[in-house]
Amino acid sequence: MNRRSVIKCYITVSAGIFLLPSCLQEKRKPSIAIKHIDIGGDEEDMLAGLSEAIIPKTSTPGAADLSAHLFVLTMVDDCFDPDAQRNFMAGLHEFDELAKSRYGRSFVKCSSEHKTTLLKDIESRKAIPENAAAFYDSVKRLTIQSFTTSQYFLTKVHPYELVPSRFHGCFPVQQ
Amino acid sequence: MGNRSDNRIFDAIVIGSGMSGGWAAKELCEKGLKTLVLERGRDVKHIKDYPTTNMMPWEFKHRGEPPYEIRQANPSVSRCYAFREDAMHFFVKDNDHPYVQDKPFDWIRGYQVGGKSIMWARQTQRWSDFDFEGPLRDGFAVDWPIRYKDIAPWYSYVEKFAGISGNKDGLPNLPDGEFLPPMELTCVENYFREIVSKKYKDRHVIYGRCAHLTEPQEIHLHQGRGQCQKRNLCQRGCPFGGYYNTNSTTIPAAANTGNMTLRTFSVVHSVIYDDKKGKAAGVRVIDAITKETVDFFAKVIFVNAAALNTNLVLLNSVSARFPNGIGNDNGLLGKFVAFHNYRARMTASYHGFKEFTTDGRRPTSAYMPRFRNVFRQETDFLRGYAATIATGRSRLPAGASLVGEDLKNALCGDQPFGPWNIHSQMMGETIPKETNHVALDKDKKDEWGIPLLKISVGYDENEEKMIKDYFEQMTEMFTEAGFTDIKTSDSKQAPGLDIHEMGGVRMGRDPKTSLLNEWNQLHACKNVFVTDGACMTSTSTQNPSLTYMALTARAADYAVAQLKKSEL
Repeated sequence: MNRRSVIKCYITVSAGIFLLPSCLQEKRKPSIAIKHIDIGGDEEDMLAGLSEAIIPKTSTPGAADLSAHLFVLTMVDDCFDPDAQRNFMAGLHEFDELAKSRYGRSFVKCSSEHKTTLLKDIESRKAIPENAAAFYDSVKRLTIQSFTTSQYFLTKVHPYELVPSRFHGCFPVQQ
Repeated sequence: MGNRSDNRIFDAIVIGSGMSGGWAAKELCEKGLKTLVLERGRDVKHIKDYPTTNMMPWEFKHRGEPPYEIRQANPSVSRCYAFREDAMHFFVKDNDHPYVQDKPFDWIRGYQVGGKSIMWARQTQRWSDFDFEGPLRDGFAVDWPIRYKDIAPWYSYVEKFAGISGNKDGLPNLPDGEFLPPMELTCVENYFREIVSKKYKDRHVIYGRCAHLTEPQEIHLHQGRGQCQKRNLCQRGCPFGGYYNTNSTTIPAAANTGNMTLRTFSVVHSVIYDDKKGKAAGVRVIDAITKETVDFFAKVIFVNAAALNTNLVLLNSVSARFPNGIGNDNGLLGKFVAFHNYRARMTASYHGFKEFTTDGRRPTSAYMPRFRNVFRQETDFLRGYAATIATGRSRLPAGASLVGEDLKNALCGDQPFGPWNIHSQMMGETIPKETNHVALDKDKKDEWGIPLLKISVGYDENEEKMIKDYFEQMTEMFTEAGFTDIKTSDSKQAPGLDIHEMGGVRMGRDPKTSLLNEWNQLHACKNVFVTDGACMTSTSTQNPSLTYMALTARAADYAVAQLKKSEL
């Protein structure tokens, strides 16, 4: 609970003790300021887990090291239209339900084998609810975007040239 | 600069500091006139005021994409291809400066020193007599009062100063200019060029001439500009001065003379007409911030507020002599507005040249000058279109059905290249019509008390036929070249998004049917010159900025000569 919700609680308490439970039930806030979508810390953790499963840490940084899920959150919150945001949130919950129905636990708590199996099934569209599949596609697209436009990727993997100083129209492909 | 001195009397006033206003300022100042340059927006100093110019991709919070709230509040400007996180601060937000759309019109504006010259696409093709003689030959609009020979030396004059990269192609319908070396065409563009010239004797694929310093000359180094570094991030403003914008060239040149006073945040209300003297006396300005009204006086006035805003200023300049706007004796002010039809695009693939790709970046493309109805009328529509052709290869997207380490390896490795991609866009001439017009809204005003501009501009049957022809002809040429996966698309975009709106204050020979004479003077008020897009009698297919620059330098030269003879 952050400072603002504590203050909100005090105000509510002074207004009437019977309102107190609604404050206590308030879900954990996401780690960055979110304006438009109703998302909590648990859901953020799920996004982080999913992004990391899509691009895992190996001997090199993965999605979590680059906070790719925060980019996903930012894009959904700032750039998606309200319909797309609703579909995204609906898909997020359907996705987690899918994990629960298959493995009896939410996605973040699944083993990495189960996570991998689930994602591969989604990739091949094996009996996957529409919203969950669309949600997964959005997260994957944005995770890839975050990864491939990160400072790490554009300096260490495929360096970006701010000042190429050249253009060749017929350049041999280097294999 | 930003001068708030008491002086209200100048030799000349220039309204606007963009593509053409910058040239008016430079020419008038260099010829010794004390010149007031009025800009409604803020100052943008070369390099210093390009905040995003050296930002890396990851430094943009949304990697360039404008947030939904901004897009929703500003639907028109959000449709502009360059309205992205790296350059959106140079564009006018719809919300800040509303206008009335009688018909859908995406009005793209840049209210700052430099105007839209900061974000322009830098294509600079000359007109020829096939363009200037078009209206007369084909019986639309009115005859241009000038011909190619009148403007040719002025094209050369502005090209040398601006720095134009081009190839001498020797085409009668697209005259060569004063060129710096061209950049390269790609293998596929060169191949397509050969195929096209073999099959069609009047069709040419050439290098798109553009305002880039491929090999800066003394005149450019003197401006403090250097070689184009092929960044292709031009819309942010270039720290090298590698492309032409007003901020790095004409405005500093005007300032260096000591004759320029640049007054920013100066919204022009109207041109003041002196009934006794029978000419314009000056310009009424409303301070954008204090809202205070200030009058400035001069012997000669250049109106370069950008095409539609120039119409607005003139329409709002009412007096006993000109109750319908200054110079508007024939009621045609604001009418015969035209633009370029940019709706049609094509894409295709090519599976040849597999062993080659491109390397580095290129801030221009290949170009096909107009080939329809050039030498004679040959189709069921009037005039024609030019087309851009851009080709390149990208690596196949990694990730389709991959996930986890497999996906990561694919992203980090070198994916194989896909086939060559070919993109083309049509740039069609539209026929100016009286019904395509702008006017002052009778009720709605902006926060400075100036009537909002009401825009009523639309497409017609000629444009639909031209789109169809472009699709057919390009498909035929693409097929001939063995391109595959040929696709056509019609964006149906509203006029305006081409950012080539022109006319409303057209040039002509006869005061009964035009507003301006062959020197860009109002027929009925000779010390007012209009040399931006508003003056255009017809649009042809070339990107128009180069022609505005040349017309402006020519008109300024004439204005000063007339002043010296006490004729103004």
